[in-house]
Amino acid sequence: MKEQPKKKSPEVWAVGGGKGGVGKSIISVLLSFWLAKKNKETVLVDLDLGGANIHTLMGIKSPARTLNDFIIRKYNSLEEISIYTEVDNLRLLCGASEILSMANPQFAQKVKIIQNIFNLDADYVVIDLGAGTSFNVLDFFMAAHKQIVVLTPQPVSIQNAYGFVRNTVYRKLSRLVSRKASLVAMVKETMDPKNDLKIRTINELLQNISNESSEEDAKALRKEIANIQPVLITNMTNEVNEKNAGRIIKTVSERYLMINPINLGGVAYDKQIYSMVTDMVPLTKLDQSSEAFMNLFEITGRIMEL
Amino acid sequence: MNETYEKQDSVIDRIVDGSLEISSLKEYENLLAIFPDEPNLYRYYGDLLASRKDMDHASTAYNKASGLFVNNGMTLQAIVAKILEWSLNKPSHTEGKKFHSSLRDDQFQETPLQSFFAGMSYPELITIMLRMVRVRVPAEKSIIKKGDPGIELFFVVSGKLKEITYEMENQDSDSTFVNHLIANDILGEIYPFEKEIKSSSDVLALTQVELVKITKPVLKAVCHKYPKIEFLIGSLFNSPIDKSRKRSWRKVRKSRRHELPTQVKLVIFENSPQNDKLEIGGLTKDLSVGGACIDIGVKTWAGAAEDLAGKSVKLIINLPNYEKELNILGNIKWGRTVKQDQIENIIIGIQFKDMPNHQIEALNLYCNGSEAEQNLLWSLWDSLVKK
Repeated sequence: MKEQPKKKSPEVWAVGGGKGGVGKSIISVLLSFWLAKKNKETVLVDLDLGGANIHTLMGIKSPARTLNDFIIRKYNSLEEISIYTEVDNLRLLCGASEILSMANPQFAQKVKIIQNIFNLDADYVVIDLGAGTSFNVLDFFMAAHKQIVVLTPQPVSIQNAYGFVRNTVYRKLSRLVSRKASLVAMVKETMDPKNDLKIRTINELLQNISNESSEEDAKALRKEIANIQPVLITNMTNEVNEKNAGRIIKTVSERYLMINPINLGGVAYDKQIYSMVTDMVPLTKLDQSSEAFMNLFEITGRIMEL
Repeated sequence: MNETYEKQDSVIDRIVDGSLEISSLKEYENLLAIFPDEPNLYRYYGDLLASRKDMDHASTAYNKASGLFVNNGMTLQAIVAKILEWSLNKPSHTEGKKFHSSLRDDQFQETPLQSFFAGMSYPELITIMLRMVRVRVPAEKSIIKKGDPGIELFFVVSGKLKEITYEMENQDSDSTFVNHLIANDILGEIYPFEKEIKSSSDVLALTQVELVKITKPVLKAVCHKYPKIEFLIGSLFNSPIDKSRKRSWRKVRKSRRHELPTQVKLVIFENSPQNDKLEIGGLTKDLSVGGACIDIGVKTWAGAAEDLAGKSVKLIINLPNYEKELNILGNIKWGRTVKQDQIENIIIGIQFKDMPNHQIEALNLYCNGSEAEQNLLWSLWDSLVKK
């Protein structure tokens, strides 16, 4: 095969959110669809390592190649395991939920996956992270250029989404201070909101670090934390006020975590999507009269502008 | 699509962004009785007093505002209030030095802008303060246009702006970055001084905006006399701004008002022989141990909002961390009809009477305690999402 000149590194979007069932996979598929429709070479990666299902949403029953084939070195690059889809400019990297070990990749495997994702020959890579706030999920999330959190207007989802964002911040802090035992202990203790140090906010934590360790340490951490800027999408909204769910995360995050998430509003609940998922009709065939479909068209454009 | 900046629910924030105009000294005094530690209120009270030529009281208000801004880590706002105070009442050398010292407290060197001012010596700070020019820009007015020569450095004191940055080599609309600027951000491409830089951005005021600016020639002259200021400016401009022009200079504000949107119930006593009372619901985003401002909607009171002032009231709050409802007695000190998004609402300000300790503790815990994050999530869900 003639070697094509390598394009620049892709912009990577990671889609997470903590709770299962909020529609992360569907949002991932539709964001990728719209990027491809905007003539951007796009790769959609299913990193829901314990429950890969993106291929099902795309109408593929049994993918010929999966991430596991890459991990076990059956294939040497992610390019080789990518699958072209019916949508021009859109390829898919399928996960492999039948392999138990994939649910908990080792550190080296995780690094390998991340490095290779950033080397994909594409304009954009969208990663569906799956549910939960494991270190693996958080590390993949933090590695991305655009960090997208999906939630629904239900209180439990809002709580989980905030928990996800909070864990992201603390995970980042933990990694940044990993070489200083005293700071590691302090960060770990303050993860519990009821800690004995009575530290309730990231700002208070950094002030404590400034007092107990050094001002330079606190300043450096402050800069890093400020770079965390998740994008919030509220899925399955029925009423106008339900679109405010993202505002809740934003307000609490600004106050307690010293970060400034971007709230991109809501995606309407769409019965058509439910039917298509049930009947295994590819989501990319969604009717363009669908409000949810057009919500995501707009949201895709706005994320691109950020 | 509508502009995405957050509309303000807080009375104080509405005063700052210009959407709520207070033109009566009495109203300010009533609000200050409710929020005695709110620096923005003192600042705007000072502005009104100065406009009425009551210079002594204006100077006192600015002095109070400046002190409170310093306590809250709002360095730029403290400097502006101090400039206004000193324009009315020239300071002594001791007063000037004391102000300078207060800005250099270690805990107020957390953001690049705080470090910028704290890094200056006393004469350097005074020199810069004397050359700052205050500018007020109404909403939707352009401040900088793409292609404008970079000849002014602006510091954002209050308000919200939108910055659209274009890639200079490429007119393609895909190569724009949109950034929202708020208090303590800076704008104006004036550094390095030796370069003639044209603006690569359009900057538009989304709300009423207050800025202070210094022109490039003035700044160059100051830096010639005080080279360290140029070093500090270099550090400001070298603070991390990534490809998408995000700024990491969020203001550091210590909590003074508890800005939890909270649903409340009110019982307003009519003070009539029949002891009539009016029971209504409302939403507050300005809740403190001393008082609260509450939006009670528009259909709950037939008369003028101002007629509510003077009435006794019982505020009932259901706190997630408190077994019983919290019943707080107070007096309505202030009432206004306010328009937002074509909808009129009545907002009242209540000054609380002395509360028993367990109530104060419950309120403080609600706002600041270990469950405060969860409390805030629930409170916001209650007010913003729940049917």
